[in-house]
Amino acid sequence: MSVTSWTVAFAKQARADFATWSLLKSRPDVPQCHSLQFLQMSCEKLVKASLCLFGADPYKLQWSHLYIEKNIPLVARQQLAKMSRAKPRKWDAVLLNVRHLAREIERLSPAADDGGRRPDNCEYPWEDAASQIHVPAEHTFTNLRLLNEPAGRAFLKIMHAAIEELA
Amino acid sequence: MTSKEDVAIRMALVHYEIEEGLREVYRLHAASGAEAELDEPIKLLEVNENTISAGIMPLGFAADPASGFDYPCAIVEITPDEFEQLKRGEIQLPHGWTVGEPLFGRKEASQVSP
Repeated sequence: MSVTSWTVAFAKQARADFATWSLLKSRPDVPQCHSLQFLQMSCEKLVKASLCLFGADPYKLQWSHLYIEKNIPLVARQQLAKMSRAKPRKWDAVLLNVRHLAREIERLSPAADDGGRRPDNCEYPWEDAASQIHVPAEHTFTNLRLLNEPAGRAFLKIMHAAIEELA
Repeated sequence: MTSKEDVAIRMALVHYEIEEGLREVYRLHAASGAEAELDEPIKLLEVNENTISAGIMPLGFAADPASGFDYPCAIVEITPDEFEQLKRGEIQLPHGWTVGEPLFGRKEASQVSP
């Protein structure tokens, strides 16, 4: 198996999206939805880079957004497995947080609305059960506040390391 | 260089230690006897209670000799229900891969020195 040019291409775009997320999240004048959208896109492209290693059709991959919840925990686990070589330890808590964050980051895409139960997303306005309309640019994504805590920083380090391996 | 078999077993052990939902791990074999070739990636089928049902998606990882993973690998992670579907032939593995020997459990893996 060789690292294909499609893998590298997706990983490089993931790297650029990650860098843009990092830039935007520190800007108080940028709505949270916009920075988070770049994080969502970065995670998605990281997974697609890994899928391309085994012959997934890169064009088909471009039309689906539902890869993060399933695959980011596996990407993270492989990174943790490498760290375990030097210093074995239990990663249960880390993986639990990775799963939570992967699920919530996937929900940022309008296509991932969990059967209509989670209309909140970072692109289009939505209406909640009380008929109140929400604007992504004015919304606070509280389900992702973990990103600002140590568990979130661990998640981001893992994602960054995985991207750099393939880019 | 460590053999592919030993690396596969070690990888399964480490995954088992990390992932509490992991129930079974199998080697996957390439079609036409290619599995013995050194440039053929290690392929693992992992049955994980903590994953979600989303079909067969082989995720590839590059080799990382510094971490003891001398060969590239692919991991197919499925739920226990999907594993039953796979055994019944209702879903298929890609590229003509077949399910090989189980790497679980703990006993076989612990026989490999770190």
